[in-house]
Amino acid sequence: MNSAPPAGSPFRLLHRNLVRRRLAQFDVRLRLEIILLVAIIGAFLFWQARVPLDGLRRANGPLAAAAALAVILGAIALGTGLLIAGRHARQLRAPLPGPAWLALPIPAQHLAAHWAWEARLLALWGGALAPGFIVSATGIVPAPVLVLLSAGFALALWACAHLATQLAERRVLSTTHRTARPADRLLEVFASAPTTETRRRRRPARWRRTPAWLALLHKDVALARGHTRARARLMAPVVLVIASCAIWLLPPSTDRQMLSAAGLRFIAFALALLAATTFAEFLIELAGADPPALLHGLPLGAAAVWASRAAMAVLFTLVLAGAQTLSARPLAPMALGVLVVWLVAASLAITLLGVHYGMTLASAPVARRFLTLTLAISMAASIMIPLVGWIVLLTAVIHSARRVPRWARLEAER
Amino acid sequence: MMELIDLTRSYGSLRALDGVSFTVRGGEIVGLLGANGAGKSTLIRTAAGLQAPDHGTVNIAGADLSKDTIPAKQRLGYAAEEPQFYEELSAAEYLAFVAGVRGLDPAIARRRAHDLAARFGLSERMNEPVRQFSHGMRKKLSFLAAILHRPAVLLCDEALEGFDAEAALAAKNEVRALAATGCAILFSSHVTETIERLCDRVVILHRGCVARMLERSAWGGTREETSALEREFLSVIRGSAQGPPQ
Repeated sequence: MNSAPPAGSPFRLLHRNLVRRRLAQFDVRLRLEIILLVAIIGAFLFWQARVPLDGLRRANGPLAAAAALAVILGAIALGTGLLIAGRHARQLRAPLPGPAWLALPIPAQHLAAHWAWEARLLALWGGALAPGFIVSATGIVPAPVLVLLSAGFALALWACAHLATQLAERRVLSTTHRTARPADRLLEVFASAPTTETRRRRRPARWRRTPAWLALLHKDVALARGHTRARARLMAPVVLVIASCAIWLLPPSTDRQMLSAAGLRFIAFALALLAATTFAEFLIELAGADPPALLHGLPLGAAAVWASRAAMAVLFTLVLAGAQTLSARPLAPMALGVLVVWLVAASLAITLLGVHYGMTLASAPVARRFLTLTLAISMAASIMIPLVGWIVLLTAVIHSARRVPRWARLEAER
Repeated sequence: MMELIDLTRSYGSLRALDGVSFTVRGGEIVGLLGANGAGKSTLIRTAAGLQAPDHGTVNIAGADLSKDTIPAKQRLGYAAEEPQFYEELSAAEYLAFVAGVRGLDPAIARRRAHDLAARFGLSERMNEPVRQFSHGMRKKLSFLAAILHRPAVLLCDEALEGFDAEAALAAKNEVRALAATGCAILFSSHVTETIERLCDRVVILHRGCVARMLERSAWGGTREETSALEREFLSVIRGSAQGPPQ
């Protein structure tokens, strides 16, 4: 139903142009950085998979290792398929971005096929994960089997991606009138997407005399309180801060390691770090909501913009540390001190990284991706060699901070 | 006063501005005319600091835009052709934000914003999110934000396009009033009639170069406040406020 558009379709040309334009958005340096990051993640996966696969081969033979690799690759294909299905379903229900599609003489199936193509681009990320695992099996799994598994993975990824978009479309269509023809039902889905909202009013504005950075901060707070993406992003850190504090209400147990005092401390710390990460994503969302032509026309410097966002990062860190201090009463004062110091340092580093990436990278999705990759590398580095993750994280903060003064120029180039 | 000195700006191999130089004196309204792609918007965006020139200098009331960026932008107002906003903020919140960034006195800024909103027909919608605004209302809001602080230099890029006749008249009056207080105004428009009636001088851009500069005496028109058609229209609009036509 939502397979590729028919031969000769203008959509083929559109897809080619879109791919070319999107690639052109990345300058050479950014492309090299992305390749480097993907290579580092591949190396991490190689590092993690090589030893267990070799152990399997020694214990049960090369075919057991091949089977394990097949399961991993299958899971990647399946996981990617799930992501694609979710994205496609969301796209179909949302107002169609781009031109006034419904005013064009295009069959609804072709439109759905176009959005299915957009959703399937996510498969590239799944594809990027596989090489690390496949390379880790060289010399462990027989070469012909490895070649077969690689080809099988490519096929499975392709099939999962296509199946995912078809299933998503059926799921969305199931919510429409079943009596209508599928094409009409698709049209109904597109036409019923919420394009206009009911007229809302906001509370009267507050006129205050403030320095520029504080005016920006007030504006950010107003945005976070409205029906915005930023507010949606704020929910995750709030929930995670509460969860990281609620962990301490669990009674410590000596029988189960996870619920021991050390285990609770680890879970609380991990949840708090996740809270900091999601708050950094919120800060990136705020930066992404800044209309470049608006901010750049105002008497605002990089320092004011940085100060307003950094103030939020510091405020969040204080709230996080305060909440942990109050809730982690079972800990001895010394252990609590260590926890809070580490938490403050990590939270500040992560949230400031979000501030810097949000200010200096071309768009919020790119900045979010860089944040995720940097934190993933920090974590991987820490797992491989303890504390090295800190070096990676702090290096990233310093490196990104050096780009902040260029905000004015970067903003103008967006 | 605004000075543009030898401005050059290229997009790849396309030279959008090629050594553009001219001055807009305080109290003067200079029209910017040119065909599509002549470089009008590039010139105004460069003068507003939205993009850096490849070469050349922009002086805003004595401040070099590239060196004294913040002081220069304090004295500058810019009404964009395609204005961008924080869509979720209300018009009043947006103006309060702009006033805050510009460091205006809150009471004065609020009073002026309300006064301007009334004159431009936005009073009823000031507490609604900008996302709900029509194209014309967005243009009005952009214009209001540009003149809220009574700038020393005002840049208007197709600023009146999308305005209804009453608001267009109010805008033209506001532009004239600002000029009377010494504001230097660069006014870009496709509508030659507006330029003809509003401006003291005209700069014609062609392929990124200043092709001609004309003084008002060159086209011989007079500064009319309203045309006969506008007067007719306004009499209908203002008459309808008193009751429906019989």
